[in-house]
Amino acid sequence: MGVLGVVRQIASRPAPLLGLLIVAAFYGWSLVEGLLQLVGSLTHNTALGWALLQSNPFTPSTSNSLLPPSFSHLMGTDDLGRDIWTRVLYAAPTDALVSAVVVGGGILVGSLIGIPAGYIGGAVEEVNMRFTDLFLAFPALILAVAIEATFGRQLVYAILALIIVWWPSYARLFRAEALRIKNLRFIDAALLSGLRDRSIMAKHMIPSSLNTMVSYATIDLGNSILVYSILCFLGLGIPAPAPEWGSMTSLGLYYFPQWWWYSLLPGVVITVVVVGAALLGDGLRDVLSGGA
Amino acid sequence: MVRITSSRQEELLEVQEVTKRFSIGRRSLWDRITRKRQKYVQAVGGATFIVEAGETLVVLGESGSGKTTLGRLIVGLEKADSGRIALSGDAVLPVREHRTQRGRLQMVFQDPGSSLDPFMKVRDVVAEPLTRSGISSGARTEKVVQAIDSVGLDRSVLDRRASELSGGQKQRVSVARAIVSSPEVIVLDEPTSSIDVSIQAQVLNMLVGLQQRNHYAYVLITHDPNVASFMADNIAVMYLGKIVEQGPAAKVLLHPRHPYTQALLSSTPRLHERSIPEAIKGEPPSLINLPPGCPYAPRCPYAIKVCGEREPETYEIEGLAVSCYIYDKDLKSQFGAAP
Amino acid sequence: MEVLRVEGLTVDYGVGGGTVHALRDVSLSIQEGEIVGVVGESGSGKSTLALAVSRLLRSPPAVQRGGSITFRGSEISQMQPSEIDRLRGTGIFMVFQDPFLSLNPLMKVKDQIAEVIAVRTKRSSSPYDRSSAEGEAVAHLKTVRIGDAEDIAERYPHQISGGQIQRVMLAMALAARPQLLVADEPTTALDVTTQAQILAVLKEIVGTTKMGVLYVTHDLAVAGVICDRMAVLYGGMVQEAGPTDKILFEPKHPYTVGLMNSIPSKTKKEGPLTAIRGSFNPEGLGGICSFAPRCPLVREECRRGIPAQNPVDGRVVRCINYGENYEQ
Repeated sequence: MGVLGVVRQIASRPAPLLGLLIVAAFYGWSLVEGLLQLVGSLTHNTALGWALLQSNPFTPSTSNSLLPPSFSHLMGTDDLGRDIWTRVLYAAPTDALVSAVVVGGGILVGSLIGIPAGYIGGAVEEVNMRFTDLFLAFPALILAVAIEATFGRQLVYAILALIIVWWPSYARLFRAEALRIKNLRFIDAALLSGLRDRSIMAKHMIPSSLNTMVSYATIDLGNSILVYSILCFLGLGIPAPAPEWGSMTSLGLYYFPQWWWYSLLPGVVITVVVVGAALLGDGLRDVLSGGA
Repeated sequence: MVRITSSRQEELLEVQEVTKRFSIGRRSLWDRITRKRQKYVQAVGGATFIVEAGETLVVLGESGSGKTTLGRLIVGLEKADSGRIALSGDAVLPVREHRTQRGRLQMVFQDPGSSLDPFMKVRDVVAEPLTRSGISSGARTEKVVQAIDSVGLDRSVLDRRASELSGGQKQRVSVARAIVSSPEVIVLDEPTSSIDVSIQAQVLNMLVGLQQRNHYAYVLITHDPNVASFMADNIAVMYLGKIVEQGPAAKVLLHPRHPYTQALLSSTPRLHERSIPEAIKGEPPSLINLPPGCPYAPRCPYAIKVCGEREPETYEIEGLAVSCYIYDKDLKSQFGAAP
Repeated sequence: MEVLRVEGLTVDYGVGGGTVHALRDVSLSIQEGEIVGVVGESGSGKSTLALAVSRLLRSPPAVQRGGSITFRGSEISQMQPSEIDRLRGTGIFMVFQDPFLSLNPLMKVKDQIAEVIAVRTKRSSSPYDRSSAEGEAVAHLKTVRIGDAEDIAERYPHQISGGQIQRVMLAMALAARPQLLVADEPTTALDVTTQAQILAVLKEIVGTTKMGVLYVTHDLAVAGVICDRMAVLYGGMVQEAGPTDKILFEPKHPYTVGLMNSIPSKTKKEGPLTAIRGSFNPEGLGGICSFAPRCPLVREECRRGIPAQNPVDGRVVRCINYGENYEQ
């Protein structure tokens, strides 16, 4: 159907369109802001990170502490007088990065394990899938605590923990897809063409599987943001003063309910992004399964 | 055992006493320990025939006759349990071991929907058989274009994705893929069963033309006697994994000798017929619980005791090879009304 | 008594931003005890017609733009779903192509037929008796010539073959006592030997129950064998319609002729089949004869408008070559 055709179909329905706009805004903004932050830190010009923002997200201002939402502070201010909306915007690239890497990593590892399991079968399938089952049993939070306790509280370890917990579902999905595809006639044709099994897996299994998986992966982006936010909420994310959606929601709880905006509004942002991904993913599933 | 042999020494496909069975059901460890008997499906029970270059053998049979398995055995997609399949004298190896055979045996499948990878471009689909041929990419492109031309498709189709094509176009692309490696034998498994009748005529004409120009040997698998009557030089009728009758097309279609062939041909509604064709009694068979003796005996109106006990030999009668006791000189008298 | 009358039925599908004219001005009628065939290839609209008559079209994306469907004198195309529900089964019964999708996999055969009997008795306000219903179910299975009817009655759908399932569907039709049976390619998925059995059974039960049958198929030979009258559909329009004898033995419309020539009846040595050139393209169908792009007898008049149906020798033919009349 082509990417353009898919986008057009998505845009024709209200719910998926909303999802698309939310997701596009989120990742679009995160890309721009993330690049600014990256360049800023590489060139030791960290101010680049808030060049597009209304103020420095780190600078405290006790006189502005805990102000309610208003035109000058869309989401109000936190206990240190920092504008919350600015901090939300500044923290967005972190979640975007985590979701992309975790889901991408899950797909990568999952495909390497799941496709041979489904296509080759036999001992390979047994070994791979039992290995997968082992990892399915790991609870994300406990693993994250364990890894961070050992190696320290850094973003990369949180991401690592999440990838480890994430890939097994993809392994199962890829295995199911491989089982379905290997019985299609074009695989026979590929064998008759002399293609080796590994070429068949790369050339034929992966594109078809990815097509089936695109909607699941999209919803999963939202899921990974949610789980990561929970990790941060529990104190396992990057330490303060770096802003993080989950941490903000957690810290803000101390000030709930009188200064409700501190905890609630970042939580709302998380919810909006997660729901947006779900709406888009649902829409993709309808479009891709109904169409070609 | 009577064999249809060829008098000419052209490149030929020789199939001799080929059998294939599949195990069914998964055996758990407990089943192995308790030595539970493995159930089998005897898909093909001893097929023998010869096909010459430029000639079409139609394998005529209904679903469950084993015809698709036979087609897959010929090209090496399945490995025979016993018997011999040879291409110009060289034994046909399973597909992963092909090497020198690569590209000499090709197949066109029934379902256009799953015959082509929907995400691939047509030019890549058709070029696939040449991937390990060692020829240059320029030569490859030339062959691909030639193949598309010879199946009557416009070159604009090359850059389209396989999923965008109609059923008839997909089948033509399937044929283009099959001929691009200049094969010697092409097995076509119900190539027109899933496309419209009006397109079928075009595709059949195209296949005949291609064969006339390139001398492919076709093994055409179908359940449709009309297709068989148009395409076949020789016909092998299959029932429950066995070839029950074999010979020149005209003889098989106009003067069939085996009771199953007669019933099959008379059951097929013919255009311009206004009455309902005669029906065979009973259900189409299952390959799982094969009764002893002749596979057709349970449904055969002429069956006598020995038919259900021992499989008949193959008898030659007026140029046809028929597996039926009716044609056994010693047992002939035991049959009542001659079919 | 006229069971079904379709007049000028026009149905469009809204698909991905465009419109497909699935049916255009289709008319036909079915008397009781009559089997009327609708023959067409893919894209002809025959399945849409079957679904429209059965009131199973999903709307959206299907939209009826005109025409009427009258069942036993009542217009059903605009009926409320609740009224249609009362007709289903006992008024209009459907048999579809894929036998394995027709039955409830969790119910025994006899229970499914008994269920139909329960619906029928409820609608006619008669008392429902379970054991007599089961007895009736087995009797119907015997009528449709299922071997070991008592045994099959106790089985589940996955334990019987496709041909047996289609026979069970016909037994259900007997139990439902409909006035109209809509059959959409009921024997396409079956072997030719099973098909012959099903056709024989169908003809028999039509003879005894006098129900009307709308038989949709792509197979001209099957239609010729079982139908009293037939309509040939192409591009959503009836191209030729009339008594089967007339159409089979003296086809007039170039498409009907082409379709018959496409069925191989000779050997390759006698030359190529006379195939219809090109393939069906739903685009560019507006305002001209839908068969014009592929017709061997096409003239410029064919593109001046949509040809009207001309009465010719006991049937109607939608072709300029039989009269230069156009639809308005």
